[in-house]
Amino acid sequence: MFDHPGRSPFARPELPEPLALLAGRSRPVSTLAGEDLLPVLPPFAELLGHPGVRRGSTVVVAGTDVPGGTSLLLALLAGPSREGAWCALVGASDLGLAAAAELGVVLSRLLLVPDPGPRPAQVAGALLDGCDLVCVRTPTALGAPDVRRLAARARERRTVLVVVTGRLPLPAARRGARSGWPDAPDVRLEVTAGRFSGPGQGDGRVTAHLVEVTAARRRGAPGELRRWLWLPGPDGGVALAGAGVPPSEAGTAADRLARAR
Amino acid sequence: MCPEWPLVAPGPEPADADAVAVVDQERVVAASGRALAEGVRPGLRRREAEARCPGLEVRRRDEAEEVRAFEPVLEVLEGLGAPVATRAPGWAALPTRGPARYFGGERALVDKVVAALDGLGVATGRWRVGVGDGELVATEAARQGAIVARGRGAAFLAPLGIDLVGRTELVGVLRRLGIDTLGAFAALGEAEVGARFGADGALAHRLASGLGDEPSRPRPTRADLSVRTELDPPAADVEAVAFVARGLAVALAARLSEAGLVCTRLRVEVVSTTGEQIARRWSGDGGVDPAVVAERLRWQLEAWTTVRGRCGGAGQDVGEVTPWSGVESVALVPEEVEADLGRQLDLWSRPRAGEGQVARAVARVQGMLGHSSVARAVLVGGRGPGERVRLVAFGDPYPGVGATRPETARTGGPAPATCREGPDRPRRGARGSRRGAGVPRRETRTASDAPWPGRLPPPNPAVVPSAPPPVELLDPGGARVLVDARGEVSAVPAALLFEDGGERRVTRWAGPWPVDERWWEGAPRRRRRARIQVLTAEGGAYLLAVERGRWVLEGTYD
Repeated sequence: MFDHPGRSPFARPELPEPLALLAGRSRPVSTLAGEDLLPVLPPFAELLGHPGVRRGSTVVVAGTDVPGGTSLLLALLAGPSREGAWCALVGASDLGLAAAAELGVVLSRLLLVPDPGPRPAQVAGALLDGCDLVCVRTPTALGAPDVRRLAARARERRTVLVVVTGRLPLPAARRGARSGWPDAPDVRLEVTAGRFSGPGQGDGRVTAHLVEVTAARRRGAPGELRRWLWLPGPDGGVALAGAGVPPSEAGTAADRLARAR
Repeated sequence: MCPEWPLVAPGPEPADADAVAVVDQERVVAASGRALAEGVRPGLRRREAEARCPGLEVRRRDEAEEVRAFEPVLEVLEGLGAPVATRAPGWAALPTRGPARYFGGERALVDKVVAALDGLGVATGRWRVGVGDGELVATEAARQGAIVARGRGAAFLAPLGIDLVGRTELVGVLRRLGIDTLGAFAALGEAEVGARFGADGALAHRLASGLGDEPSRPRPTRADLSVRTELDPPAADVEAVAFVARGLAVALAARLSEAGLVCTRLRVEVVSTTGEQIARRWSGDGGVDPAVVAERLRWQLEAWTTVRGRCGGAGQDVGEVTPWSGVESVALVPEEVEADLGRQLDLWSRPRAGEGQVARAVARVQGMLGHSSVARAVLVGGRGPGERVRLVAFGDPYPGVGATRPETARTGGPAPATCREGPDRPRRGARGSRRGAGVPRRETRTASDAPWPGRLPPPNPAVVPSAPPPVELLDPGGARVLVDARGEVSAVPAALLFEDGGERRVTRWAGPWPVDERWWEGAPRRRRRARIQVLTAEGGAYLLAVERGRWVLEGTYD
C-alpha cells in the first residue's frame, strides 16, 4: 500500500515509545464483519474464533458415539435465540424441548417441523428465506446435492445453516443413518469425549455433563481446537470448564463422595 | 370513522369526565375526554400515560370485541347501497359518487350516514364522517368533519403533520431532513422520493399529495386467484368455519406469492345454508394479510351468529333476516392486487428476520405439509420430560408471550430441585452420601414454575422419543429389575437391553423415583410409574420408566 517506505508515517522506528506500544496492542478490527454475526454463548465464541456465527455460513454438528451432540446443537441455538433470532429445526420429532429451554433456547422463537415429509430439503429451503438460523436434523440423510444447494441458499439469504450428521441417537442409529459431508463446512463441531456426573449406586441424580468439543474451522486458525464444556454444568448453565482438566481425573464432589464410599 | 372505537366498543362506554385509556402492547391506542385533556395521546407508553394522568383507568385492548361490535355498523352502512370496505374496526369507507347523487349531494349523504350511525345507539355522537379523494384525505376530512372537494386533497393535507403517512421510520428520516408537513413532503419530486425511499416511500408520497392510491389501483385481478371451499356437511360451529378460513388464507398467500402479487383489497364471502351470502371487504395500502383477515373472520362470524340468533328469535324490525343455520361455503376473493415490490434490505446488516418474514416462510411450508406441520413448543406442567411440552401450530395463538418468557425463567439458574421431599413420597433413610453436592433442595416457587411433586429436576434429557421404545433392565442374574410398592428396586441393575438387541453394562444408577398420578380417579386412569437414571459403561446416560412391570426408554441424555 505504501510505496515509499522512507516517507511512511507508519514506519515503526520513528514512532515515539507510547505510540509504538499502542501500535503493538492494536488488532485489526472489523466492524462490518461484526455486524454480520449472530451472537452465540461465550463458550462457542472461543470454539468458533468469533463472538458469533457468521451469517450465511454452514455449521456441521457431527454426531459421534459419545453422547452430547444434541445438547451441543441446542446450546449453539441458545445464543442467537436469546438475542431475538428466529431459529427453525427441521426433523426433530424426538427432541427434548424441556432440555432446549433449560439450555437457553427461547421456545417462542423456535419453529419446529417434526415431520418434514419426503422432501426435507425443500422445507429447509423455504425456512432459510425467513429465519436467522435453520437446522436440518433428519433421520433420512440428505443427499449431497441437497446439502450443497441448501448451503448455497443459506449463503445467498445470509442465514446460518446447521446440519446434524452422522450417528443419531436411538432409534435412528439403528437404521445406520450416516451421511457424509461432501464439502468442507465453515465450522465442524463434534463431541469427542464426555462424562456425566451425579448418579452413584442408587443415589444422586444426573446433575451435569462435561464434554470435550472439537471444532474444526475452515478459515482462521487451522487445525482442531479442543475445549471442555459444561453441557450443562451443575448450575444449569453452559460454560467452559476449567483449563484442561480431564474430568475423569478431577471428578466432582459427588463423584469423590461416591468413590470414598 | 370512530377514533375512540377501542374505548367504546368493548365497554362500558366512558363518560368524558372519566379518565380511561385503552392499552395494547404497553402503548395507548385510545383515550377518553379527560385523559386527552391531561395529555394522554395515542402512541404513548402506558407508564408515561399513567404519569401524566394520575388515577387513569387502564383497559386492555379487546380486538375481538371491537370487530364483533363493529359488525352492525357495517351492516347499517351497507344499507346505503354502496360496497363498504374496512381496514380496522372503527374505520369504514364507501364510494360516494353513486350514493351522493342518489341522496342529493355529499352533504346530504354525510347527514344520512351520521343519522344512520347515531340510530344504532353505539358510540352516539362519536362518529366522524368526512368526504375526500383517497383514504388518507377522507380519514383526515372525517377527523375534522369536513367535505373536501374533488382535487382539493393536496391543499387540504398540506398544513398537516408528516406523521399521518404512518410509516414510523420514513417519518423519522423526513423529520431529520426538516420536512414536517405533508405539504413539504408532497413538494418533493416523485421520482426523487421513489429513488431514495423505494416503492413504499413513493406510495406515501402519493398519499401525501392527496392523490389517493390511484396510480397503483384499482387493478382488478386478471386471473382468478380466489380460493373457495364447500363445507359438507355445513358447519354451524364458528370455530370450524374459522379453521377452514385459515386454511384458505394460507392457500391464498401461497398463490399470491407464486404470482408475485400482494392483495390490497380482499373480499371474504360466506354463504349460509339458507342461500344467504354475506360478504365483507378488507383493504390496506401495504397489502392485506389473508391470515389476519381469516382471524378476524372468526370474530365477524360470531357477530353474525349472535345478530341472526337474536333477530330470528325476537322478530325485531330489522327486516326479513333469516335465522342463522350454518355455513355452506367460504371463499376469499382478492379484488385488487398489485405487484409485490418487496423491500430493499440494508447494505451491510440484514435486519433480523421479522415476524412477517418468518410468517411468509412458514406459510410456504404449511402450504406443502399442512397447517399443523410447523409448530412452536410451550412448556406446560407435567412430570415426565415428554409430558412437559405441548406443540402449538404456528399461526394459532401462542400462549404466554410476554407473560412468562423462557429466558427470564432460566436466567440466574435456580437451585436444582428434586422431588424427593414431595408429598407423594416418604423419605428413605438418610444416607451420608446425600450430603454432598447432590443434596436435594426444595424448589423456590415462581409463578411460571408451579410445583409438580415427582417432576424430574433439570437437566432434562435432550432426546425424548415421541413413543418411548420398550427396553429391559436386568440384574446381575439376568432377571428383570422391578420396583416394589415402597419404591425400592428388587435388585441392583446391571444391564440395559435395547429393543434391537444391543446390550449395555450399567455402571451407575440413580432412583427410583415413584410417581402416583390420578390415584383419586380409580383403576383405568390411575398411573403408577417409577423413573430411574442409568449410566452405561459406554458413557451413555438414559432415563427409564417402569409401569406395570414394563420398562420403557423415556429419554436419552445426549
